[in-house]
Amino acid sequence: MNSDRKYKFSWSLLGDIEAGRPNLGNTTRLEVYRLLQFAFRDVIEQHVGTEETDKIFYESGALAGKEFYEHMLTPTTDLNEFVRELQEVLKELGIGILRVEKADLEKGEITVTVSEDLDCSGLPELDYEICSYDEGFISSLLECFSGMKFIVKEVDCWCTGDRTCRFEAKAVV
Amino acid sequence: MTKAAENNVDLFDVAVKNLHDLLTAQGVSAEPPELIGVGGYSELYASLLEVRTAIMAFASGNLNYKVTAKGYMPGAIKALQASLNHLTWQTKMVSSGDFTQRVDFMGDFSESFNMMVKQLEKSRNELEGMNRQLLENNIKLQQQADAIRESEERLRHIAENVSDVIWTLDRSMEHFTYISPSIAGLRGLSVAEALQEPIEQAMTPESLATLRKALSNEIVNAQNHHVADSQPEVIEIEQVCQDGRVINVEVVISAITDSDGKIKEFVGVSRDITVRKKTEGLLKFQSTHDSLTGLYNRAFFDAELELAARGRQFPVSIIVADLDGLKQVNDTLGHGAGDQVIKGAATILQMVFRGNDIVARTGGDEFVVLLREMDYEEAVIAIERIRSCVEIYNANNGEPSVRISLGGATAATGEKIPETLKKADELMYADKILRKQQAPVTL
Ligand SMILES: [Zn+2]
Repeated sequence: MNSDRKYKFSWSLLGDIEAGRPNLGNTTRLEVYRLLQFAFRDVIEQHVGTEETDKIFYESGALAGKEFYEHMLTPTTDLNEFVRELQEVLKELGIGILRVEKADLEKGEITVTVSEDLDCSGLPELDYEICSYDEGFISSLLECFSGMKFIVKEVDCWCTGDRTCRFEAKAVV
Repeated sequence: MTKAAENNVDLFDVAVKNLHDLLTAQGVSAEPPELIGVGGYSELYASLLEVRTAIMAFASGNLNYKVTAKGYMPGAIKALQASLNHLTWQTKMVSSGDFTQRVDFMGDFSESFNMMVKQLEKSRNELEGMNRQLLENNIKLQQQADAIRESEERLRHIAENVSDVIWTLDRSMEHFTYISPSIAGLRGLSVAEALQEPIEQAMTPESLATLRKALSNEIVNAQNHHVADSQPEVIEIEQVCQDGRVINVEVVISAITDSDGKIKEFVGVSRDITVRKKTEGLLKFQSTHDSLTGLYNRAFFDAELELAARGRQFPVSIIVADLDGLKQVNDTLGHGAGDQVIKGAATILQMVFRGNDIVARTGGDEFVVLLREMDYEEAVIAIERIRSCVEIYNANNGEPSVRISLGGATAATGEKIPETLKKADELMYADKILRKQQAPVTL
């Protein structure tokens, strides 16, 4: 890959919001976020096809998850500690309500649900799961926490008529 | 109605019954046989059947049942499943000690659950607090025990290295429970021997009585006072050593009491004071006796005279005896000869008197005898006996011979004593003059 990239991510790219938006502040309407995401999805799909698009979103989520872990969470080796802080931060930032259904790190199996998900809650019913960005995001968080690589699959989604998004994570042996 | 329409009505009836059964009947078939292939009905039936099965599974506690159907109703069931599973996980976390778990979005249950967790946390904190307290107490006790052990070791070290014997006696006053090794130095016994020895054999009967009285005093003291201000009892007893020697022992006794003032045991320190007693005896003898003759001295005689004057043993006779020519003996034959004459006179007086008679050398050549309950006639007889003893002594001992002038008088009451002494003295002088005339001293 080209070494002098133009868009290489860095946390500082998020900017100094306090200074930059003294009046409007740190929040925006969720529609704006979704508008951006679905516009990207549309155009990217036209360029590279559906499968590649999903892959791009998954990888973007993973990149975001890694940065998020580094900047927003406290490193710990205790699963409970990790989950508790993650729940708190996700709720505080309005990303979603995280719940753990099953967590067996020894088997490398974790099932979590996200209600009121930033990406999909309230979307019209479609016949496919749409939260591939979230999948990547969660896989990265788990990897940063445990040191193991995880594949995350969204098995239930608002978009398929469910009330919560359910993600099954499996460690890659 | 056409045949097809009739057929449709029949199918509709079957479908209604089918769906009704799915909702209400206990047993249903896996597929609707009559309606297989009727546009989408089988799929609808299968989905509803799955919802029904899932509800039944959750109702009977199988939260792992995997719902594959999609859509609003399966979604709602899955939401419930997610909540219950999450709750299960949370409960597991709580049981492993994570009291930060909170349930939300589950109505009244959330409140009850959260309250329970908070209570559990509070109880655990309290228990931990108690545990910490117990641990601290334990450490303190351990430190105290260490301090006690150190102090005990120190005391034992002291006890085993002083020449005094330190011992403890149980409260029955019969059995020694500890005796320090210096018992060997004191009485020639090993510790084991001393511990086995009956207390009656450890000392004379009088001493045992003294000891028991002192121990009893300690008990009374302990009952009446605080331990702090009760004084130890100090007694002197006599003990017999392994080799038969009798030694004088000073014993300091204290009672050890519990917090209620009840005696637990006695602790004592025994010290050999035989030498001290001997020295004391010697000093006492020296202060009351004349060193040359061993007779009482002037001070003792004066004190006895005063006692006799205040006493009741009348009549009291006094005999004054004075050596004749002592100065000449000293001058011509030397002081050694003079001392010999003085000792001779003492021997003679000791031959005549004994027991309670007070025979004293009150000056260089002067002796006085104080005789209680002796009348004048008896005193005269005593004087005669002195004279005959002088003759016998001189006959046996050769030169320089002992010559004594004598005078005696008797007092009927205490008041008369000073004048009686004076009178005896005068009579002695009269005797001296008479004796000089009859037989002047020649050497
Ligand atoms: Zn979703």
